[in-house]
Amino acid sequence: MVWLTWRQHRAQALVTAGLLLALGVFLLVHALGTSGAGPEALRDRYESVQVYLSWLPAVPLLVGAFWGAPVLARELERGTHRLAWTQSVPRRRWLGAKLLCLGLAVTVAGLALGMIVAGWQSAFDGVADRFGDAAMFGATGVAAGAWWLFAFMLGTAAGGVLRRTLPALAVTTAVFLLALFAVLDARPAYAEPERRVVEDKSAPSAGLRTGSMWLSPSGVEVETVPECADASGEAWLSCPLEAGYRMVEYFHPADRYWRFQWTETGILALATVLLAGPVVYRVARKPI
Amino acid sequence: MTALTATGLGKRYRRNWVLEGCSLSVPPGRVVALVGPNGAGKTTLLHLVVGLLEPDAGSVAVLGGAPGEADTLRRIAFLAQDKPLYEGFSVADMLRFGARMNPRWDGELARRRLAELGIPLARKVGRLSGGQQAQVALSVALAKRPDLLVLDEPLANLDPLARHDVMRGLMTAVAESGMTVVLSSHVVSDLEDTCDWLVLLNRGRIQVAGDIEDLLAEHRLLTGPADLADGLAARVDVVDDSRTDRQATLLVRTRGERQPLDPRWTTRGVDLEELVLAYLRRPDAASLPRPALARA
Repeated sequence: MVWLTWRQHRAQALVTAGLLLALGVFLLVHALGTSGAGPEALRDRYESVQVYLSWLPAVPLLVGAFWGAPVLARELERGTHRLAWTQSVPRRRWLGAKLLCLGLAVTVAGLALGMIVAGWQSAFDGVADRFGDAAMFGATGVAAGAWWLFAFMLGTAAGGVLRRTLPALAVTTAVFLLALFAVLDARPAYAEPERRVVEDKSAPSAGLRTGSMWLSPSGVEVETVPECADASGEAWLSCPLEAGYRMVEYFHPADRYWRFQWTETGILALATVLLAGPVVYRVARKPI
Repeated sequence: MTALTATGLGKRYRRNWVLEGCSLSVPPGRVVALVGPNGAGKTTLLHLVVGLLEPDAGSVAVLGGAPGEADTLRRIAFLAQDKPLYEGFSVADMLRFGARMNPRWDGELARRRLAELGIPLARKVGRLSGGQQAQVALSVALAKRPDLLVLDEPLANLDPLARHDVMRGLMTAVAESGMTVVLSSHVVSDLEDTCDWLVLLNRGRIQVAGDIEDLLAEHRLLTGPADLADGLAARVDVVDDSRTDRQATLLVRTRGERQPLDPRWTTRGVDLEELVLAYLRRPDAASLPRPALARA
C-alpha cells in the first residue's frame, strides 16, 4: 500500500517538496542578508517579503485541492476504485493506509513550512511578529501542520461525497475559506484577554491586541470620548489625552503564543476527525 | 461447497429494487454466463458478489465466505466494466500494483501473457489500444490466481478480433487452472461456445439458472397446426408461443418426461440464443432448478 500511495501521489509529493525547498533556500538567503542592518533597514527588509508571506494561510487550500480532493474523487470518477477495492487488501485497510501516509506527509510538510517561516522570522529580532500578525501565526508553529492536515481531509471528504474532482475543488475552496475566516475571527477569543492601562503611549504592545477603550478620569471605560465628539484631524488624536482620558488596551501577552497554537491545533484536529466520518462512510459503507 | 450461493438476494437504490429475490447456486469449476438485457441488474449482482456493494436483502456467499472479507478477496478477481486501470501507470507499474496488493500474485504468468501478446511493459497504460488495455486488465486479474474470476461485460467496446483474443486468452487460463468464471454479457452469441452454466437475469429477477446442456436438452421447439396448439399448451410447459393463422411455434420445457405427440407436430432442439430470447420475451416464465437439483 505504501508503494501504491507513493506511486499515485508522487507528483504532488515532489512538487510540494520542491516548493518547500525553494522557499527555504530563498528565505535562508534573505535572512542571512540582514547582518549589520539598522532597525529601519531591518524593518524594510522584513516587510518586503512579509507582504507575500501573508498569503501563507491560503496555501493549505492548494493542499486540499491537489492532495485531498483526488484521493477518492479521481478513483470514483474513473472507476478505478473497483480495481483497487477488489484486490486482496480490504478497502478499510486501503483507506487507512492512504489517509495515514498522505496525512502524515502533508502534516510534516506543513510543519516544515512553519519551521522555515519561524526560522526566517528569528533573523528579524524586534521586527518580526509571530503572534499579533494573524497570517504569521497560522503559518508557524504546530498550527501550520494542523491547517495542512485539515485542508487535506476537507479535500478528501469533498471528493468522496461529490465523487467528481472539479466540484470537489470548488467545495473545498468555499468551505476552506469559510473555515479560515471563522478561525481568524475566533482566534482572539481562545482566552480571556488581559487589560492594561497605557501610561506611556510610546510603549509598544507585544502579543495579540484584541481591542482598546478610553478610560475616563472618573474610571469609566468608554468607546468614544464625548468631549472630543467635534474634534477632527490632529486634535482628534490628542483631544482625549488632554481631556484626561487614558487608553486601555486588551491584549494577549506574547507568552500565550504556544497556548494559542495548541488551542488552534486542537480545534482543527477535531474538525479533521469529523471530516473523516464521511470519508470512511463513503469507502466502507456506500461505494458505488 | 459451491462457488457462489445467493439466497433471496436484493439490492435497492432509494425505493427502487434493482435486484430482488435472487437465489442461485453455482458449482465450482463452471463457466457461468450471466445474461440479460441492459438494466437487468447484472452489474449490481456482480458487484454484490465481489463485495463492492452490500445487499439490502438476503445474502450471498462466495467460495464459502462473505464477499469483501480479506479471505474472500484473496481468492477472487474482478474485471469491472470499462476495464479500469490506472492510466498514468506503465504496464510494469500495473504488474507491480498487482504484486503489492495480492499475496498469491503470479508475476511470471502476467509477464508471459503480455509478452505473448506483444504488449510492451514500459508503455503507459493510457497509450495502449482498447484491446491491449483489456488484455492488461485481464492479465492483472488472472495473475491474482483466483478461484473465482468475475468479469463484467469483458467484451464490450472491443472489435471482433480483440473479442476473440480476449475470449481465447480467458479460456486458456480456465483450462489451465480449473477456476470458476462468471461473466456477464448482453450478447448471447459471445458466450455460446465458452460457457457451460447459464444465469438469465431479467428486470432484477433470476429467470433461468442451470447447466446449459441440461437446459438445451429440456427445451424443444414444436411447430404444427395452430388449431392443435391450445390442446398441447394445456399438457406441457410453454415458454414462448407464437402463432400465425394456420401455424403455431411453441418453445416448450419438457422436464425430461416423454410426451406422446400428434404426428402433425414437427419437433427440434433449440440453441442458446433461441432459449434466452424465448424467456426474455416471456418475463413470467421461469426455469429454475428445484431445490433438490442444487447439486455440485
